[in-house]
Amino acid sequence: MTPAIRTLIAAMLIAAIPGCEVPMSERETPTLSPEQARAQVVTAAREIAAALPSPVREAWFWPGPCGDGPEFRGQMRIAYDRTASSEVSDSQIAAVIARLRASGWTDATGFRSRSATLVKNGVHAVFRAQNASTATRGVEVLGGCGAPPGGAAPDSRPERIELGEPAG
Amino acid sequence: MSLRLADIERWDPQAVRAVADAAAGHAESVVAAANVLAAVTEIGWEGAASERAREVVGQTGVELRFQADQTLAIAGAIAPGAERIAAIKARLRVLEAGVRAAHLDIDRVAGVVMPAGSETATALQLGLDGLIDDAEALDAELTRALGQSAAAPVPRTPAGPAVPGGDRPPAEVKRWWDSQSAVQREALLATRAAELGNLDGIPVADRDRANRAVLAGDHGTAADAVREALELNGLRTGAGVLLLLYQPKAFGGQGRAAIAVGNPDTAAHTAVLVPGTAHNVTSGWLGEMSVSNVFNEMTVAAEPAEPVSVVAWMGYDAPDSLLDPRVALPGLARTGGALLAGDLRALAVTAQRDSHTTVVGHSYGSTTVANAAAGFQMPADDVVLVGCPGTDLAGTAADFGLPRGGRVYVGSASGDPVTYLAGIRGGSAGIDPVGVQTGLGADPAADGFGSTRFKAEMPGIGRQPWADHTGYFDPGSESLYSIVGIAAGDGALLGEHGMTAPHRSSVVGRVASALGLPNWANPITDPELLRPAATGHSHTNIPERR
Repeated sequence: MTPAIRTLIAAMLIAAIPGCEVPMSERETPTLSPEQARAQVVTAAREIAAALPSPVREAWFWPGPCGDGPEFRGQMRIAYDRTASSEVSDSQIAAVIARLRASGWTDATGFRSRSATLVKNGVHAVFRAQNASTATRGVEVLGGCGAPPGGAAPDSRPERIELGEPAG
Repeated sequence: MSLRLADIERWDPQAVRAVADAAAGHAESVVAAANVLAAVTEIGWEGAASERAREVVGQTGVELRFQADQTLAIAGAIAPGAERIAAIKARLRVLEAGVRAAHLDIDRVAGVVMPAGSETATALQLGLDGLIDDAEALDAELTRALGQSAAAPVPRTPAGPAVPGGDRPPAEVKRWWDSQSAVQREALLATRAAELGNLDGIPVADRDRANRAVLAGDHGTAADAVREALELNGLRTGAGVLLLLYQPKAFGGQGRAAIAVGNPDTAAHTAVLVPGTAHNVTSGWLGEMSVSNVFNEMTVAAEPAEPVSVVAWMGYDAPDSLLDPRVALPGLARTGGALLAGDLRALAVTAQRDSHTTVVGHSYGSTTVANAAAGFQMPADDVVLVGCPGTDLAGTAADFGLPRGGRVYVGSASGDPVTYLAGIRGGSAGIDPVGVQTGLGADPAADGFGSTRFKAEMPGIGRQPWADHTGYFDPGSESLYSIVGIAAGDGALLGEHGMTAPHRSSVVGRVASALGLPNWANPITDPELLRPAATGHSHTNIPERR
């Protein structure tokens, strides 16, 4: 069998596999300026912070990687107070999730996490359960992937964000 | 010389106490000055002159500490003496009252009760003689104590016991460290940080203090990268971050370092991450998202009361890039495997509790992990290999030598080209069009290897082949979900959660070999190629507990 025929057979085998067909929507990455990426997650974070049961201790924003190319996403971590027990913490997180569902957040599909995860307008919110390793509880907020205009990488330095007082 | 009553009457216990307090305060100030001096030696100044300066400053520190010790010794001798002086003076007052009551007198120069001869005078004289004897004894004791302090030579070697060399077994170092008093440990951390920070057997929290002291005076790309990694991981996780290994000049200036998010000495579950090609300290790998992604998920995968730790181990010289000829050779993975096994043995010694350790290798780092286990008795409970180009010294999972219940877990995305460099056991062993063997050994995702394969497909198969190789720690990915479950001790539940994946087929591989198909056709051996990512799982997004 000549190398050309071997290559042809291999190509036909690969091409015949349906999993390799890539939807158009996955081939295209939206353009997202650093300012848009920041605004997207900060807006979501303010909504989440307002639903939390205790004060936000600190919140940080940074542009995170998204794939292996120039794409990036806005990311945040919101830190808020622990409770006396994990059971109370879990019930509080469940209440926060219920509150957010009422304002348009839905369960995330296709996003695998050990934590409860909601999504709204392409922004994921991951609610971390209380653990002995950290002095606070946390919510991670992940924006959608976007490519910066002109391929310019955003400033990767974390920025402290003031989210205001929770509604309680 | 005999004491006279007039001498004893002039003794002032309050003044003696004040002198003792002043001496103790002075000693504290001298120690503080010595600590400041020690910090001055860590200013990042390099070269022969800096070495001499460190030597001089080091000896000055030794002398200061010696003086502080001597001053403290004086204070220690004086302080109880003051109490005894007060007691002697009180006895003298009682005795004088007795003399007056008996209408007698005392010759204060000769120390004699007058007139002598009566029974009362004789009794009082005996009391006076005993008092003067006690006063002279006290005077002699104080003189001797102060004399010994003054006569002691200033040491020419560093104060305190010698720090064990890096060639000593971690358990021996641990015993030595435990034998030091808290004060001695503080003094050692203040003066010998450069020797302690990377010394196996020193607890991680103390190594962190020592390494940070050294880092504070360092400049350069490696130091800056480590500083940034410590900060970033803290902000992203809210956890304490420890610098347990810091050698910025290692590997030609690329640096050798490891940081821990959460303390592995006290953690119930520890994951050790080992990166692959194109990663080093200066490239910023320690601050990449993979570390915090694993930690944040692990805090949920573990029980709430179980602390977790993620160690980002950039402790070996990884190939510089895919163009580095060493990337196709196992040499760096073998050298690195020895280093990894050694560092993990040290962590095992300082662990304060029974803990579960999972070593996670990515890409060339997975070959390093395999070699650490198969070639150098790496202590680990479980091993995870993702994006593996071959397991070199390990031909099967049994070669990893894991303890009873331990498993080799494998995450290989069907679209990850690096994983097809490995030879499929019994099938196409990485045969390229000219028949040259490529890769670094057996494919752990293939049937017959003995691994547990977990789902690790990436969304958008075929869109970005290289992203399939770098996405194993991405938030929300099947791979990250499985990795943290394993690291939290729940690897056995992967099947229950629908997260296990079928192995690559050696039968199909043999057919491909018989047909002489090129390497890039190897995905046809992988049943996972037909499955889009994030399907077929039985778990939900609700927080789960074991």
